[in-house]
Amino acid sequence: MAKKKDAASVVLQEQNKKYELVLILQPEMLESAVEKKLREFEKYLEENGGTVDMKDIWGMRKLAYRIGPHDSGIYIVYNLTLPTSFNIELDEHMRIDKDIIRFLHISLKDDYEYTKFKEEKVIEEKPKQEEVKEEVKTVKKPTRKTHKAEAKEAKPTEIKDKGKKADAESLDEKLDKLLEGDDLNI
Amino acid sequence: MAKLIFSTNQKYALGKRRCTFCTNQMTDIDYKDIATLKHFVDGFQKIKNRYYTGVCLHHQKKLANAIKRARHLALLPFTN
Repeated sequence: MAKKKDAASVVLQEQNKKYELVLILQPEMLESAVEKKLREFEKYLEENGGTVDMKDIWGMRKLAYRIGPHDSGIYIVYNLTLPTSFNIELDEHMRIDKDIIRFLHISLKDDYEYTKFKEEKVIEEKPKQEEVKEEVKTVKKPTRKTHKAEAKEAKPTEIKDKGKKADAESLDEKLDKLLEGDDLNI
Repeated sequence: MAKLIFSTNQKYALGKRRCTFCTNQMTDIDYKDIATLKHFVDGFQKIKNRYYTGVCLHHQKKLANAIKRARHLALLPFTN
């Protein structure tokens, strides 16, 4: 029996699996401190035979409820391949760390594809704004106010330009006259 | 991704009730996708019964798991 157990443990140690890891860091940390923290964390993973496949930083985000004294947190998502024997150690390491408020550590399927947070946001937000603008345009008929406002905006620019041109021309003429007059006077 | 339509009130639906995840061919439900999860949560932030939403049992189990994970990460509240 003992031999069989040893054989099973050896096989398990060699296995690598895909995992997803979400960290919530303290909101009071500066950007440089966060970078330093993550560099150290990645080094710790690589020392224990893990590799970082993907890393996505969501940034500061409001929490849905208070966690201790904190109202917000810095979200970071990792996709990793780790040896199966390392998981318990990693969980303890994250639990002890005071900068990590909370974490989630799950196994993934082999054909999992991650879509980045920023890309999702862009896809969701852009069409919404356009649709809203179009709806407003179609619903609201062009009223008199808008025409007046446009006219008010347009008119002063023209007048100013004309005034400037007129001033320049008149000044030139006056200067010429004066110069001539001065010559005569002298 | 195309915009999905969630018919979450299927109690009085005419004809056959259909699971929204089956029709959109979503095999997995992501716990980070809060926009979809919010459709299946009550005003008190409780998980809606599938009697009202029309989700099939296979997807209801995955949905409940996803909502619980989102709650653990403070993406969704426990109660309101």
